[in-house]
Amino acid sequence: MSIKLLEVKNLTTEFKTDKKSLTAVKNVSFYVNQGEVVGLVGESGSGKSVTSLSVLRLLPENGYISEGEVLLSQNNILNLDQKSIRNIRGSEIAMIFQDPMSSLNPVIKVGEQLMECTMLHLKHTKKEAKAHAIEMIKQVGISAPEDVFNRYPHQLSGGMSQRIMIAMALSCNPKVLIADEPTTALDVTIQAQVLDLITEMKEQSNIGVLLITHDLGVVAEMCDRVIVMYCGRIVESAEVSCLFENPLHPYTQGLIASVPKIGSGSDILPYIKGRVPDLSQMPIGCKFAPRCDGAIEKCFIEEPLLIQLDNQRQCRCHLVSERGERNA
Amino acid sequence: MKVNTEIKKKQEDYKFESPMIELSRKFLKKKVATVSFFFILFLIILAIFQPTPYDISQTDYSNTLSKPSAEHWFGTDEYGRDIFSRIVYGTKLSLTVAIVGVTVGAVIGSILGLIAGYYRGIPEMIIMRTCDVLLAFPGLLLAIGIVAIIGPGLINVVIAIAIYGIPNFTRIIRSSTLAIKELLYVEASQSIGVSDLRLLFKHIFPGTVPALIVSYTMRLGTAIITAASLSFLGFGASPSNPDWGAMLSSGRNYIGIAPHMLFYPGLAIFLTVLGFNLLGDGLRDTLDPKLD
Amino acid sequence: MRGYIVKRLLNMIPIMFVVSIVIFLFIHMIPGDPARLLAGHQATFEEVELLKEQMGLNNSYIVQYKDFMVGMLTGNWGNSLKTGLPVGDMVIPRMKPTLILAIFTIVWSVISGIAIGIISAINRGKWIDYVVMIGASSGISLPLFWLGLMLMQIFSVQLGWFPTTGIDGLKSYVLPSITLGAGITAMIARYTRSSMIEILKENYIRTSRAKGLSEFIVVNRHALRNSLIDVITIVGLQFGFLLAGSVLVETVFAIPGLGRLLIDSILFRDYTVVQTVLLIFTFQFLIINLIVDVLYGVFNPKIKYE
Repeated sequence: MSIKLLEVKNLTTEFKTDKKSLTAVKNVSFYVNQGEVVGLVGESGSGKSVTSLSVLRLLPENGYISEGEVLLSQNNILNLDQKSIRNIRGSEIAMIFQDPMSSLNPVIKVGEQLMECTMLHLKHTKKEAKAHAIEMIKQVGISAPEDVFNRYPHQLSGGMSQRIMIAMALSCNPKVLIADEPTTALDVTIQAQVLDLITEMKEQSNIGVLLITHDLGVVAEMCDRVIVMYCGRIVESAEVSCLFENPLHPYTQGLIASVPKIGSGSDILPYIKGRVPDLSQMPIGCKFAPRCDGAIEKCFIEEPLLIQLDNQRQCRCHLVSERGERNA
Repeated sequence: MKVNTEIKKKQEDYKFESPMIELSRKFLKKKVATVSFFFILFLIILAIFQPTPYDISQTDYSNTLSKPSAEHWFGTDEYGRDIFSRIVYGTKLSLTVAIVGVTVGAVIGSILGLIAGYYRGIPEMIIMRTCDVLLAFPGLLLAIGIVAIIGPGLINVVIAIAIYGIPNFTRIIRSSTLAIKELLYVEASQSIGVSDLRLLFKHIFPGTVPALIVSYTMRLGTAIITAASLSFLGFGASPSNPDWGAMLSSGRNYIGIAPHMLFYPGLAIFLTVLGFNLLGDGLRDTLDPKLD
Repeated sequence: MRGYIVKRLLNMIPIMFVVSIVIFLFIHMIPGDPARLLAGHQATFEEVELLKEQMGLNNSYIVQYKDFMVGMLTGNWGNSLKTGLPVGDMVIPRMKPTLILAIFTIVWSVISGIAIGIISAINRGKWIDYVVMIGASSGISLPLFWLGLMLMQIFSVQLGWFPTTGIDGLKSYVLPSITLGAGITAMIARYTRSSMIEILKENYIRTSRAKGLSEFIVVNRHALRNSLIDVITIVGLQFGFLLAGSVLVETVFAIPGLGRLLIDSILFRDYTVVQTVLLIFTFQFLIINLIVDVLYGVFNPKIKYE
């Protein structure tokens, strides 16, 4: 049995606006095991980034967690004071972001930005931190690490920047890495390299990775398990092979169908009609119902529950649960 | 259900409002800006109707340098003249000097800015380089220089304010002209052969108006301070005039004896300038012109 | 870097040349006949003409300009029309108070302006932010000669803490410097605040928080370094304000500085002094612009000096 590193239980995150609170993430639960890559998938606006920011309590000022627990090695980190949560950020749970170019401080040398982390958490001296930083730059596959150490972010390419971000994230040996769309802003050829690097680093240090992406290709390649989110709710979760072989939720089916396949014989790429509803104008019943081809009356009235189907499988859909009941 | 339809009806009403009403609604939401708007309005009314309790040049040697009292709200000056009345009269002077000066500067500056932004090329180069030179001098020094050449006096202060306002307006109008020229409808009008002049004044100029209004308001505040500074230094209104800056200049000699002679004229300048600046801030947030 | 500074210094030569022409023309556009002024009311027409001849006022403008420039470059700045003293002797002692006032003011007002701006930005929307914003709007709208007079009234006349006028040790610079710096502090605070608010939304700020850095380091190391790039350009613009303001402040506090000398000389049409002071002001302004540009490069690694 593998060790649960990170567990999120019933997480609900809201945003305060002028008039009312909007729920961006509702009742989300999942876990990440050691040595495992868990994918969090959904269109933009599905709440996956908010989920990841909630874990480290890095939400924007008007965002707050109204309910739930985030357990790191069985301790709820939502109860910690500011100082203690800072000790966890970067040292226990590290994070890399979507746009590496803007995620590095443009006026501070890359090396210094790397050193900050170990000087803070590992209490390195300047000298040790520098040696460690250069070692980390080497580890993420950059040749001439001393040269890169002294560069400013604008002197790096996008792929190099993301490598630096990965080096920075892993420099304090975290247990969990949260990667929020790590390849979205990069060229396709670079994407594969960065993903390989993440896999390699994961295997080297046996960490758990929460990979947030909208790209099912990335999920298929990288992940062990996958969680599909829609409108701030988990709609389906499964092991990767199961999900691709037999997607249950109509939304998942739509996502998979809209990935282009070579030799599929059809010229028309299927897509999911409509768009993600605005947070302030959520449908009453199933949030996906307005875009769902198979929606029945019940779907518009009552929100379906997330049903545990078997050990690794959950789905939130009236159609699926009713089919299950009939079969039983 | 009934409540629902009422809400819907309200929303529909809202949609049919003209942009003018929508903008004023947006503006009135800003409390500070609204207060300053009414304060400026109040000053204008004061300037027009001149509710002065005393004649501004009526001297009273038995009652000089007296402290504020029920009779003389702001006290009297070294000749026993009523300071409150002189400040009210000074409102007219200050506003007239500022409004005339800034308006002249704005008109000339806008025309130059439109020409520079629309025709580009050599006219633009000459206009903009001249502006750069003028703007390189700190505003007040430029005004002092102009008044030094054409001589002291209120009229010349107006001229100085006009001249040194020109480059500011030229710059702002040029950059918004450039932005508007990029828009599709201007290109379209050009392609169907609308004349330059018509295009400039019918299509381009209206687009620069938000930027113009905002900087006009802000410049009024600056102009009032500049005029007062010039008078204070002895380049502006003559000390016998009830000009705020001149009043401060003569009150300086009585510091320690009659502080009210310094306090009230300065307060008048401060509040008026603050009013214009806050109004300008509010207008900028409401109209949101793209100023560079 | 050194090459850049040398290049910029060489660039100043043509600018100073243009400025000297402008000042020369400006001086000659001022109405009034300096020779008559110098000769005095009782002088006869012949005496004035003789003086004109001696002063070179009858030569063509080109010759006069040449004499003016040669004089300027060789340090022979002529004699004051008012006092008859060499201009250098009048101008040089006046530089010290102006310079002390300027340096004093810019140092405290830049530091406090940035600090106030940061405090306001990180407390955005709270009462302290509103207080700062109201203070900043007021500071910008204050006529500084009035502020000076009010400070003088309270702290010199009533409390007797500072001398009223003139220069008597460093203490005499306190009130003038507060007067001169209030508006600058307000401008810089406003600008720092809005720049900080924008920068605190940047992705790299989120990165530095995700690293576990304390909010103090996030703000003062990561955010401030970026916002200084914006603020430094505004600081550069404030120097113009400083020059103009020193004219007023020196008048209010009767400080024997260059600004006061300029005003007195213009009022007296003492044009030899006026042209020298104006050239010094311009030179000072160009040097300050150069320093600001260099500092801009120091704070912004994207700028390369070639």
